[in-house]
Amino acid sequence: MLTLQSYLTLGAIIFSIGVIGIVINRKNIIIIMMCIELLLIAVNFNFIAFSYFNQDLAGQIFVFFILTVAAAEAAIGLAILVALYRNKKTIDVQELNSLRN
Amino acid sequence: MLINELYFILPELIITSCICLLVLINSLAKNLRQYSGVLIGSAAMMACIFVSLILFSENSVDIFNNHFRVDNLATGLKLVTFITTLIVILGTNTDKLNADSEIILIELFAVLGVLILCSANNLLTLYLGLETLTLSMYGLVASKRSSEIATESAMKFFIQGAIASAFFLYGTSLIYGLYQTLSLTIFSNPDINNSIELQLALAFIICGIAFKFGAFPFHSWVPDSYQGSSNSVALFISTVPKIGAFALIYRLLITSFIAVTEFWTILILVLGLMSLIFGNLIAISQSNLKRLLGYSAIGHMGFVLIAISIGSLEGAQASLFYLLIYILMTSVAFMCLEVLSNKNRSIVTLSDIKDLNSSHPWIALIMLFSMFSMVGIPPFIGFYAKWIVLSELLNAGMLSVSITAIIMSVIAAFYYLRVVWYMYFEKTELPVMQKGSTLIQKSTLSIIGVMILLMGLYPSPMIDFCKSIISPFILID
Repeated sequence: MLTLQSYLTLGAIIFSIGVIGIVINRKNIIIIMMCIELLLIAVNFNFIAFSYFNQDLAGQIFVFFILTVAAAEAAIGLAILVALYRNKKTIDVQELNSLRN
Repeated sequence: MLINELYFILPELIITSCICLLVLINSLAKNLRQYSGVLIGSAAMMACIFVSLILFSENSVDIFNNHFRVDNLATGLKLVTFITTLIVILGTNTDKLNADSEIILIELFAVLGVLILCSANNLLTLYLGLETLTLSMYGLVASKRSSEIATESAMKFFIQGAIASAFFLYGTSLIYGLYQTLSLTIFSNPDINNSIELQLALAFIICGIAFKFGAFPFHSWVPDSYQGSSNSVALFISTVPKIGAFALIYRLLITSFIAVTEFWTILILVLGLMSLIFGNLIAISQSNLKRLLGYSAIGHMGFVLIAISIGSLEGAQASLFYLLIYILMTSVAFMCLEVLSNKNRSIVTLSDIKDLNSSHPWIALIMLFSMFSMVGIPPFIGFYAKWIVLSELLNAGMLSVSITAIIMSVIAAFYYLRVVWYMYFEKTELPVMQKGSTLIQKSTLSIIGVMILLMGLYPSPMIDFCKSIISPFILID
């Protein structure tokens, strides 16, 4: 029998994987975007678990909104990425260093 | 029922219909593009100012199943948003709008987000408002598509913003789990217990708030995005989103979670002090004027946050007053840069404004007003903003915090006065000679520049305004 704790732990683990992935990633921006999606999925997990175990629908409705916003966010992020690639010809995180004093 | 409720969201409806109209014009009538943004945008803002002045006299109501609250704070902050946006739109250079006429359209989207944030009475509404604002800000920063630094700063801004909103959401989900509700009215109950889970959730939420303010650990997008974006976009993103951030902190912390005030005030105090120290110290070494203003904005946000961390009604009023004055001073500074720039030459570094006094004495004088006001020299209005915050800190017995704030203001004087030095006493072979700004821009700049001085001589209407929109908290039993 899965309890609320197991779902929350899974959510916390996914969230941590997302954060760690962003912090230690030194390669490319696509991986950062995948990690951002992981963060949002962890949040969705929490909401659905709470919603199911507390018998309250608001959490599941919130998840629909998060999914919509995440899609819009990913669209904007990829659009910026395409514009960046056109200008710099690279999506390497290390190359993003032209903003200096 | 519904028709009555629509009356209270009239400003939002006006903005939304203008957005639809502008989208149609931009895609169908390409020859109308150049001036339609400025015309429709400023007309919408004037209509909204009028409507919110009417709404200001109404009692506070909760509409749409308590998702949306129209009270004095919401209407007052909306009024400030409209006035600021009107200034931004009038200050935007119409010559460049052929190439990037979507700027005003995206700005209207961001304004819509701020309006939803101001009125949100539910975590879901709050989140949607926040994201409407943040997503449009990504678009604004990236609006110079062919520029390398613009796209790079937009990318960095996007990554940090996405992480911050994920943190905010994680905190929201924990709060939902704790109380099985999303309504902010429930959280304002002073009897909710101060559990470790709630503290964890609030810490996550404060990460999201700190990002919106551009406070210390989440500050690095501020100078980057100011430097990467055009002057008119920097003028917008340095002013209007801060109103949304204040609405966020007011709705989520100051009036909700009264029971755990001791906990979140400490977090806000640490964030405020760190951004005060960090922003002002880094700003000293900047030679790019926009980065300098970015770091100085971080320092100003430190002032706003430490005023909030007093945790009292007077603290919130002082904080709002400081925020409004910050918006006025920053919009003057960025608008000076916007007026001086044209298609061929953009004024961004300190050496660009060398000897500005001999070519543009009036603009140099207004820039001097803005800089003196940011330092806090009387009789300019910035002095009163700092003075009110410091006196509230001393009333609350936070002596060491106020001493730190004073020391940092003195350090800040160095780099603000250096800007003045460059404008008046440095000689250059390449003076700013261009003409490109319109009469509307110049007159808007003159009006708000003189306002800095006039309001400093007569500050009480502004103080009364802040006191009237932050009235004593009403506890719901």
